[in-house]
Amino acid sequence: MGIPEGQLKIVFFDGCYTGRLKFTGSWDLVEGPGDDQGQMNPWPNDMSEALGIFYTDQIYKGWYGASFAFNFLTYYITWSNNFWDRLRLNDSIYEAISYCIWNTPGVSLRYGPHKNYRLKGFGDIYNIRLQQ
Amino acid sequence: MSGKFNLIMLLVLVAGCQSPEVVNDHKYVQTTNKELVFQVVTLQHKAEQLSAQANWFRVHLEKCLTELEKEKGLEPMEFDWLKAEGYPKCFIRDPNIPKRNIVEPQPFYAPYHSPKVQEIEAEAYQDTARLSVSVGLTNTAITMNMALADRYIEHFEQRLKRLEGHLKE
Repeated sequence: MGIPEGQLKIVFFDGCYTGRLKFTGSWDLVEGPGDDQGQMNPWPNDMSEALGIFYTDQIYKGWYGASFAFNFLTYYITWSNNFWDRLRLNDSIYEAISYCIWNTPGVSLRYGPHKNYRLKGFGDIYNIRLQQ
Repeated sequence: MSGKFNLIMLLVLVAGCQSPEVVNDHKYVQTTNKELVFQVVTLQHKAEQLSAQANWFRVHLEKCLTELEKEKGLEPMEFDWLKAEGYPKCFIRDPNIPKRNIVEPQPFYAPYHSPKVQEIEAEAYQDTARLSVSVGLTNTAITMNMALADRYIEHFEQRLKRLEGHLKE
């Protein structure tokens, strides 16, 4: 089971609270609690595990909290566009996120997509790139 | 003439005695950020380099172990990635988690500052936030690599033990 190595590189659930979904021991998919509690749990908030993303060339990305995409709060759309654009230009995940951090408006010390994104899995984000 | 000259000299001296150091907040912020950016970038490069070295080591260790196993007539041990036993069976909400309180965005009233101060503060604020998150990203990458390394160490230890056992026989 799981997603085979070398095929799918990134699973990005671009929706609210996708960064804290998890499986319970009885294989129910639930929204996990906050970061500290969520990670200390025997079944941590980790959708990569739930989806069977275990390889070094795969990664799961989601939003920990709400990801607004309406009215003037369109930073999340800009972030996502930047992210895919940079991957298209052969950036690694690490480089693409770095680009998003420095080139997406709406940055503040407490809120914004840069504080909200979460990466899960065992992927080596320095080396995961989309195949050209 | 002499009195005028003295007056001019006095003015020059007074002007000279005034501190030439003009506090330029904007310049200060820029310099500080440049130093911080340099530190963060250095840290990032170091982490990337370590990751590349660890990968190189892993690949070569894998090759060596496979060769040894083949030489000793053992089936090379595959790295068992898959721990999951199945896909999601249902999508339900955990009843133990209280319902989210979604707060609608409120109108924001900024306190008054002169445009220059506002610009400097906004720039410094955003740069600090971005630097902080950049460090966080590097930290995430390192943590993930450490978790990966742990799993590989466990895997290599198993293979070495098996080889050791085989050699003792």
